[in-house]
Parts: sequence; C-alpha cells; structure tokens
Amino acid sequence: MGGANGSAAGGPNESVGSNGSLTWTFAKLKFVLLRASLRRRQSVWNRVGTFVALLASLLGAIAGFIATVSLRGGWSAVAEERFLVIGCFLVIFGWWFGPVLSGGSDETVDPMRLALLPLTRAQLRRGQIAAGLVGPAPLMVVVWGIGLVIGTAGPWWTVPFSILAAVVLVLTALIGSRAIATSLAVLNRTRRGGDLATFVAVLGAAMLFVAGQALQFISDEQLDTMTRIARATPLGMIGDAFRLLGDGDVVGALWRIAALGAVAAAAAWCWSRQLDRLMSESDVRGRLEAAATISALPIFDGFRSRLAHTPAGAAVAREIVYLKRSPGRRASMLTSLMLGFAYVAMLAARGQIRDPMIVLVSPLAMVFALQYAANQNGVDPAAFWIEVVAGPQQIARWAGRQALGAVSILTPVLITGVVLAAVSGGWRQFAVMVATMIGATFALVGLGSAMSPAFATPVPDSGNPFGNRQAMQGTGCVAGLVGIMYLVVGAAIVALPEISLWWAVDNRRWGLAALVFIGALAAQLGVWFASSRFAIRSLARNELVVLERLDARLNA
Amino acid sequence: MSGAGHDPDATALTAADPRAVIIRGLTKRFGDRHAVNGISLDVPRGAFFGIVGPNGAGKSTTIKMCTTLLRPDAGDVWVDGHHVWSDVTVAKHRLGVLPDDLPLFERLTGGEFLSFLGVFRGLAPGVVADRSAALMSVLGLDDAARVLIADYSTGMRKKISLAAAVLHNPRVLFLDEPFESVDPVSARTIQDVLHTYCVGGGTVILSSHVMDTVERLCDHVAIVNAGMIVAAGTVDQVRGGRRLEDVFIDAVGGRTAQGGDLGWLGTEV
Repeated sequence: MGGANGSAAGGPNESVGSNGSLTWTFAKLKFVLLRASLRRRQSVWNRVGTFVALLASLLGAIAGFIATVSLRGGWSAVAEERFLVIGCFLVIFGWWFGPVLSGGSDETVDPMRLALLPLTRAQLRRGQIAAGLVGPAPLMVVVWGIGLVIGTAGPWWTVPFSILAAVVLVLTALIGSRAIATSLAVLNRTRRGGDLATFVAVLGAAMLFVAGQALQFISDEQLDTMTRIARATPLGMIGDAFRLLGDGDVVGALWRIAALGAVAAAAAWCWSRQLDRLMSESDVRGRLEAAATISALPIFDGFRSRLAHTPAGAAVAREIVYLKRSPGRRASMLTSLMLGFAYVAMLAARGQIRDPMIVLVSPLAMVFALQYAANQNGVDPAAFWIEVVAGPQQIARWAGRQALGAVSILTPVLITGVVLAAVSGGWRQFAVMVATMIGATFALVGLGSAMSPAFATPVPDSGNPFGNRQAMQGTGCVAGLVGIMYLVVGAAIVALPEISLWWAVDNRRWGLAALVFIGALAAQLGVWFASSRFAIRSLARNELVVLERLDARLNA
Repeated sequence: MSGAGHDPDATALTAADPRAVIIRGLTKRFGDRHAVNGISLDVPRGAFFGIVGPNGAGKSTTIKMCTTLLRPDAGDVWVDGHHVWSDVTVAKHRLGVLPDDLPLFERLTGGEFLSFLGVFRGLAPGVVADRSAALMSVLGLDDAARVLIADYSTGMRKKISLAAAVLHNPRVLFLDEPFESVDPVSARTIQDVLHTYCVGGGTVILSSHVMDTVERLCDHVAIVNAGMIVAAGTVDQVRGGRRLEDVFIDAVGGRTAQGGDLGWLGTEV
C-alpha cells in the first residue's frame, strides 16, 4: 500500500464509473433488498406477508390497467374527466405522502447509508430515482401510466405527448416523494422540527385518506367541485392533459404537462438542497438537547413519581411517558387520532352533522388507535426486553400496556362524541355510546393483549418518526391482516350492544335497557377477563419466544 | 469554515507533504455547548494516531467533521491534500471511515454489501471480488459472506464495516471507537488488519477511551477534553515516562468513587 494507496492499479476511480452504470447499480441494489424479503431465512410470516403484498400490487396493477384502458370506450365525458383529474391527483399525492408513513426505511433511498460514498449529488439523485422505480407499488403505478396512455390515446401524433405526460406524472410523484421524505428527515434532526415534520406528514396522509374515502360517499355536485379544485392544481392538470390529448388538443395538454414539470423541477431543487443538508449535518441533535428534553417534563415527572410505587404503576407510567417522548410513538398516535377524527368528520360531512344519531358513530374514531391495542407487546421491543430482564411480573407489564390501550381507545371516541353531541344535541345518544364503550374498552384491550403474544409485530422505537423497519419485509402486511381480523371482532363488541341499548332507550323500555346494559357489560368484562388471563399465562409461558420474535436486530 | 486554501500551510500541500491530515480551528456547537472548540492538529503520513478523551469530549464529533459527515461551524480539514468540504467527492475517495453508528444495509449479505460498495466506489468488479474475498477471509467472515448483515453479531458488524472502510484502499483511515463492544479475538483481528495497513504506509486515526489499546497500538496521540486538545504529540512525548492512563486522568481531571452514597452497593439485600 503506502504511496501506492488509492492510485494503485485497482484503486478507486475518482470519476466513479459512468452515470448509467451507477444508476443501474442503484436499481439492482433495490431489487436485491426486495429479494431478501423472500429469503428462506426470513420467518414464514414475513414471506407470507411479502407474497400477499406482491399479490395485492399485482391485482392492483391489473385492476388499474383495465380501468384506464377501458377509458377507450363506454365512459361519459364527465365520468372520464372526473376519473382522470381526481385519479391523477390522488396517485401523485399518495406517492408523496404514503411512503413517509408506511415505508420510510427503503434502504436504497436513505441517503445516510450512502453518506460516505464518493457520489455527487446528481449521481445520488439519479440513483435514488432509479431505485424508487423498483418495487411492486412503483411498478403498479407505471402499469397504470401505460394504461392511461392506451386508454386516452387520440390521433397517432398525440401518442408521444401522452407518453411524455405519463413520464412526467411518474417522475413528479417520485421526485416529490423524495423531496418530502428528505425535508422531513432534515426537520426531524431536532425535537421541535421532528414534531413539525410529524404534523406535516400526518396532515398529508389524513388529507389523502379523507379524499380517498370521500369519493365513495359524496354527491355528483360535490364530486364536480372536487374535480374543479383538483383541475386547478398541477397535480390534477396532468389528468386533464390526458383528456385533451385524447381529443387531439396538444397545445392545451402541453402547458398542463409543463405545469406539472415545473412542480417536478421545484421538487428536485428542494430535494437537492435538503439532501445536502441532511448528508453533511447528520448530527445536530446534541446530547444536551436530549438531556434538556427529559428534564423539561415536570408534569410527567410528577405523574411518574405518583404512579411508580409499584411494578404495575411503573409500567403504566413508562408507557405514557414514552408516548410523549418517543417520536415514533407520537407520530403513530397522532396519525391514529387524526385519521380516526377524519373518518368520523367525513361521515358527518355527508350532511348528517345535525342528526343526533351521528353521535353513535363516534367509536369509529378509535379505529386507527386500535393498532396499539392489538400489538401491545410489539410497539417497543426494547422496552419489552428491558422489562423481561428487570423481571417484574407479567401482570405488571400487562397492566401498563392495557392502561395505554384504554387511553388510546377512549380518548378519540370521547372527544369525537362530545363534539358531535354538542353540534347535534344528541346527548342521549352520547350517554348510550359512553355506557357501551366502558365495557367495550375493557374487552378490546383484553382481546388485544391476548392476540399480542401470538402476533406481536416488532415496531422498534426510533428517533425517526417515519422509520418503519418492517418496510418491504411482509411483516407489516401480516400485521395488517391480523389487525383487520381484530377490527371485525371489535366492531361486533362495540356495535351490537350500542345498537341494542339505543333501541331500548329510544323506545323507553327502561327495564330492557338496564338488562342490555348489564348483560353487555358482563359479556364485555367476561371477554376482558378471559382474554387477560390467557394473555398473562401466555406471556408467562412464552415470554422468551415473544422476546425472540421482537428482537430488533433479528427483525431488522 | 474558512474555505479551502486559506491556511498558508495547507496551500503548500502536495502529495509529498509529510502530513496526511491537517485540522485547523475546527469548531462545532450544539445549542449553547461547544462540542468541539477550535481544534487544530497535524497528523503525519503513516502515523497510527490515537484521539483519546472521556465520554462527550468531542472525539466522535471531530471524526465526523473530518469525514464529511458533519459540517463544522468553523475551521478546515484537509485529507491527503484535499479540503474535505470544498472537494468532497475526491476527499471521500482518499479516506475510509469506520463510524460508530452509521447504518448498514441490513438486508444485504456481507458479500453483497462489499460488492455493491465496490461498484459505487468505482472499483472494477474483479478487484472488488478479489479484495472482498481477501478481507472476508482475514477478518474471519468467510462463513458469514452469505448471511444477512441483520443477523451479524456486534463484532461481525464492526469487521464488515472495517472491510467496507478499507475496500477502496484509502490513504487515511478514520476509526471511531473500533474496539467498542468487540471480543478480544475480533479486536486482535482488527488490530492486525490495521497494523498491515499502517506498515504499508496508510495513516490511521482512531478514537478511543481505552488507554491500554491506544498506548499499545498508536505512535501518536492527542488527548481531547471538553472539545479542546489538552496534549498532543508522539505517545512517548505525551506520557513523559509515565503511564498514558495517568497522564490522561491528570489532563482531564479524574475523580474517584469511594464509599459515601454507594455504601449499599454489593451489600446483602
């Protein structure tokens, strides 16, 4: 080595190869990482989850392709315009915000893993774009784009412009997504910035969710309004461009494509700037800030000191303090709350806000918060490990997690219920809803605690609220399937007693109402008791099995 | 930062300059606290240079700023004649880093990781294959070449990170706490690789708070405390006939824990 270091034969080439080969290498890297999800060493559930995710993407691609190609015939002009404008808007917006909350750990697009490599920013950007196009979800959108080109094809001379529009659409979605993820990562380097980043991401995801759900319910007039609004933005304009190209209006289409291209250029500029900051200022969160953060929570310190006299109290206090301090947990809870509120708000917006009966749908606000109740042992594997080592009884840990589960479930429901009752005057409905939710909350957290040892999905605590180490591994998909199962049972636990009790109250059959209330409460508490007993015994028997499943490194 | 070329010493840097690394006035603040406070240092070519200091002294922050991972508030760093902030890409070719906490590609095998890294660094595929095989063999990772990095132990992660750091045969190697959490066998393997690298003319800069290791491995040392250098030179110069640990304790201000509030420790419950 010595003097021959670096410049010796076989030493590094300071121009780092051709741009084309580097870009290809990024794409190949992403493919290898995806392939690793199907390796035999992965757990069966991981592989099943990955397979289901691939299958879902394939079906989505086929369905989208058929839908877009079918634009060639049979669609009215109005329906076609709505489909193209709102559809393109949602696809781009979804790609921008979706990965931030669901797949933030795509390793090929995490610039910090490449920080030491002698790559120029341009090479890094090209590589990340190439990697971003590899995977089931991006390929699904590319298939949709091909379908759009075919489905909206007009005279032959417009076809190149349709292809251009599809390329600009995909690139804008991809570059915008990277710009947002990188900007949020830069913000996340400080605590306050992290909170702001979380809020922005959650807001974006909530807007997307509401828009997607609202499409199923809104009237034609509202749909037209949405179409007009979307068409006024570059994201919707691209849909309009496809429609115009179908009619042979190349000039009209071109300036709409240019508008979206301008968004892509702005996003690329922003991405470049933020990438620079992220890669050269990776460590602005100094030790003193962390120390100050911990000491600056007198409320929680006081709360903790009052609770933490027993192992169970300490477990409850730790869960709640962590909810406040962990960016990942905060983001998850905030997302659950906002999406839950959005779900109810969407129903209320259908014109039923003045109907007192709307109060009875308040429990829908907890739908997304149930993810904690269903995965009580998995949300923080490190804490689980520490508690196992520290050795408090399983019942103490179970109590802590049940307490936070109950808070997660009841908080959004009660807030929503109070707001809806205040607006609609449905205080009788509110009383019925609360009477039902008391027992239901017990039953739901009990059921969750019974499911969690068997289906615990590791969600390691992370300084990055958008980090998801289950991305591209299938475990997230398995967790989703288990969650759906839990939701169906949960809906029965809440809805059946609520409807029955309301019927009795509304018909002034007070004896029956009392019977329903007591019967439902007894049944719900019975579910809670049986589930909790099973959970505690299961934890006692299989503690180390659960621990192994949750081990952060094995499941990274 | 003052920018490239402002230091008269640095502008005279050539390939024949005896200094592999020049640090001038390096400063970094986190909030009100100076993590690194105006550090200046010359590291000779071929040196095995130890940076020692207590926890939080600024060792890791200094290494991050020398390796383009953290932009300093002020000061400059030249590695092998290249200013690391105005000549980032070239500087990254000349240096290798074993960071304390840089994320790895967990779902690549060790072999795949080195292979991709070599391509990204512009090495010919044949060279990458030969060097990867040699490094994996020397570091005792032969059997782990086809295992996902996610399944590696801490020692294996350090070793694969070292392989990644030297794969492109850099001129200067920065190592942040390379022996932390590593078993003695792995530590010895890593030391052997570093020794070979240094004998060949490479320059090693490592941070540590294990005095014995630094005393045994390094020929130069700098003691850092509260973001400043309190002593620097050859190991013999700095220790002045005493044990390095004693000099270190004197320099950073040691304290002992005897009885007092810890009287309960180790007593029967």
